Amino acid sequence: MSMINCRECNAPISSEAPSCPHCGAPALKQSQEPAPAPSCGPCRTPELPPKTWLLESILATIFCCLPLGVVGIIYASKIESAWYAGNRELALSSARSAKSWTIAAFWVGLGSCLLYIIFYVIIIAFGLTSVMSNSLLNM
Amino acid sequence: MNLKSPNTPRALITGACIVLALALIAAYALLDPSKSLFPRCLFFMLTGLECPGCGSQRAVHSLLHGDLQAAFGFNPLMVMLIPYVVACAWLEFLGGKERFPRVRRALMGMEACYALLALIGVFFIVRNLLT
Repeated sequence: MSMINCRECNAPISSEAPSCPHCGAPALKQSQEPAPAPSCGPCRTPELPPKTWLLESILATIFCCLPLGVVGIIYASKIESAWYAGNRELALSSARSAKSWTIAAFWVGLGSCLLYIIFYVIIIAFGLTSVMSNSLLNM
Repeated sequence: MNLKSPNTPRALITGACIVLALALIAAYALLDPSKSLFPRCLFFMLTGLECPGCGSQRAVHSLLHGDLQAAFGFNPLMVMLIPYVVACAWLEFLGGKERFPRVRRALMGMEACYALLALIGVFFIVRNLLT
């Protein structure tokens, strides 16, 4: 146990007192607890490369948005080679590109599906109106 | 498994994905893509070439009806990649890559990417030469 000075009234107080007996100010535990150790990446397992979006690119390729999905896979390979060669910057920028290409592939796929749905809805609506107008004319 | 983002939106997204997947599975099981109003491949309509993904909707339909042979006929690449895709999904989302970084590197590393690109490229060329 040691004596420290109160941060409010500067009177000497015990370092273990919860508050100053003179002025009542709560004592700050000044840097007594060591800062939590920074999460130790290298000593756990070798650090993993950033998310490569490989799985998503494959799915985009298989389910038909060919060029964009393949570009995603190419970027995934770039991420891997750059990361294990120690080029962190390149790996991270490739990871960003992989992400945008894969997401673009996904939206193109979804967009073409939506175009299809709109196309069919228009055809069906058109068919219905012509059927209805025909039946009205025949009445 | 340590998650960087807060849990709630992640759980929500996972739930939405599961619901969407079930709806898609039901749609592909009940309807035959070759006969009904399923979207056609944009690439095929534009170029007349079959892309590596062409036939995968019909293949999914056949698979859901337990017809592996027909599925293979529609898109052999997709059928062959199913085990690989499942393994990758486990590595990527279910904590596999933290527990087995070497398996991850073998299956999703640079060599694996090149092998995939080669496989997709060869399949693309061969299927268009054969038809």
